[in-house]
Amino acid sequence: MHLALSPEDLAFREAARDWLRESYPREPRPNDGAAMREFDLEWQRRQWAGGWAGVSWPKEYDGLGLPVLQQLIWLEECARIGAPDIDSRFVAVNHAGPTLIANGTQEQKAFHLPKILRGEVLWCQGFSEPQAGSDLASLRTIGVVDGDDLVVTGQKLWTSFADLADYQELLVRTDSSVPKHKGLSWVICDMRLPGITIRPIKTLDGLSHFCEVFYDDVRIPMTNVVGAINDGWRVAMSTLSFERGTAFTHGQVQLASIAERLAGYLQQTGAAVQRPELVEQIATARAEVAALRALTYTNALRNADQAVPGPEGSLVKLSYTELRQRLMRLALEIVGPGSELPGITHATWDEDYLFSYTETIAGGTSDIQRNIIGERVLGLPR
Amino acid sequence: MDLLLSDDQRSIVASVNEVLDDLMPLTNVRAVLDGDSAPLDALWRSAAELGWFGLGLPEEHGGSGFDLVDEALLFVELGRRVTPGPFLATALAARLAALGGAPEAAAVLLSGQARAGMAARPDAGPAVLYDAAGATYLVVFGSQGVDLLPAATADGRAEQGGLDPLLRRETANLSGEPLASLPATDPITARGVVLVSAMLSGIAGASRDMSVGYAKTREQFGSPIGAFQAVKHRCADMAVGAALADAQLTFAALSVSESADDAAFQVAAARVVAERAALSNVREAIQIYGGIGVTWECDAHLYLKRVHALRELFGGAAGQRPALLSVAPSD
Repeated sequence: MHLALSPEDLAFREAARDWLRESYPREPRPNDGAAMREFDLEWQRRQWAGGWAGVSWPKEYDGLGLPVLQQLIWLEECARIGAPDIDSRFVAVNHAGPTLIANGTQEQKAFHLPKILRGEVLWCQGFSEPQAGSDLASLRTIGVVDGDDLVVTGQKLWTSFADLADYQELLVRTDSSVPKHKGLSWVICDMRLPGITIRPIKTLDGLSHFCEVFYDDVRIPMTNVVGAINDGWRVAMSTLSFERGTAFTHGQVQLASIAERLAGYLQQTGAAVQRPELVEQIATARAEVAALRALTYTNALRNADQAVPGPEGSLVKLSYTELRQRLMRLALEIVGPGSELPGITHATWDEDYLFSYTETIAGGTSDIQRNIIGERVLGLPR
Repeated sequence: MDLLLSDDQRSIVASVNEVLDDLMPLTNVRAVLDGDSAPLDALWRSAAELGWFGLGLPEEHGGSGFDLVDEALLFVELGRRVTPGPFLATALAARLAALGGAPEAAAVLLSGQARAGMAARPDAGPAVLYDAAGATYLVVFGSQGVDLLPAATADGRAEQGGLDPLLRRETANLSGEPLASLPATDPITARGVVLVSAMLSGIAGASRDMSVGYAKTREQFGSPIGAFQAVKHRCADMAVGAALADAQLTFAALSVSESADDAAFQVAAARVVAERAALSNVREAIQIYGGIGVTWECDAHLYLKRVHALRELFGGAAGQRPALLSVAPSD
């Protein structure tokens, strides 16, 4: 066991730092709408042009095929220098792309993969529905085969960036006569097709982070089905084998930086003397952020040589999102509403604090994560 | 970077477990608690033969030359089984003696002929001794450095209260001439904190495991209680706490061995998360056991008391605060 990076990994980090220093976008990122889309795609295009796009994608699909340790290094360096998090590009680059690589036809791959890596398109995810949240497989949006088309009717909910995306990974029920996991299909949906209505949902921070999407006899070509018809659950789950536990790396670096600055702020402003309980809380938070990073590295390196990563990723997801919420609350308490912490740009605590409430819900609630840990890590009965 | 257990490390853990299964199962821990010194004497002899007191000491000083991270594996297991006996103080005393110029003391400590107790010497007032009843030496930590003293030079020894009857506390005045010394900047203190974190981490893991085991077998309302989310989710939180503590322990131990710039920060973080996980997990274990959990017969109280004893060492969590507030973690 050792912590130190090998000369090869150190050289990789140096190269990443050099390129990022020259290339990361310095102007503030718009937090909404078409301007944000353009900003994020421009950053993806710049990575493509610089030879840094698709760190986790296989080389045969023009990715870099980096070992997981170098992926972590890249993500940490991006976060440290202040480059934007993957955010609106997440579904395309880290979800739809890998799903197509694993399950798509030659035509699907040839058409979509280059567009994703080159920063030409955004994708969104059409999984959750009003009646299918944690119990995803109970979804009700129907797809009926009619000639060469799949005709889709129903509603999706919590679809991040539906209003900005070009394509959607859409999970629909194509057979209602079989148990719920067995009648689903995974299709590529062009978001500009007739019959699609998108309504942004205003969230508690006053912004719009996601939408509801309505489908009224939307005709999707059957050639857009990924994998076999009724094999959608397996296709959706196959994406998980690409997730090596790197998803929260950017956010963790942010947390470490925020906690460190808060510690400095407490001492510089004299608040440390007046409110010693905050000092203890920030010391504990910094220890927890450090431990979370250690756990992330440990899990990611353990997963590196496994075909499918273990359920231990839920330990990281649960502790990261819960810690983020606690730390944002602490930040708000220390700095005060409406204020900014010197040295952290375009982060108003009010928004970040409020947004942290979505993170213990999105991508599997904390309660679902605890079920996964209880049943699949600890072997407790269902 | 390599964070995976090697085959050598796995065999260290297996061999430690074999010895402890044989010589210090929980029934023997209870025998020691009831005043029978024989099980601990037998374990001490085996531990010395296996080189446990010099596991992390370089071979040229009479040790086995393993890394701190390997030594931590031993102490995780000692924590996991609430092993009695001054293993930590003796390993640290042997190191101090060997590196600080007292080879005779090092030899008797490493060979198991002598034991050491730990002492915390404040800048003013009497020192606090831990588990020093049968000790020949004291390893004394203070703001000026670390000293090895003959235990016989401690004056005015007085028994103090404490929750853990297997880790007794005394006060005493320490005025003897040190047999060996290391400066306050020597990593021996960081090593001690890492090994305390290891024992706390072991307790966090043991508490998780005993709770999960019980939740799988205890039935109420016609099903194992672990099927109920109220219980399952407590177990999941215990797993999170123990996993964080284990991962950070490894980072801390490696950062000390590699003299990383942020070693003090990593060690402090390990100590804080291990204590939080241990305390919280033991608490949850007692809760999950229900009525049985508060009986003398249930082992949970042994762990609870050990956590409270261990968390005092090296200035407690408060002692780690300066490192957590001021040192910027490097990469």
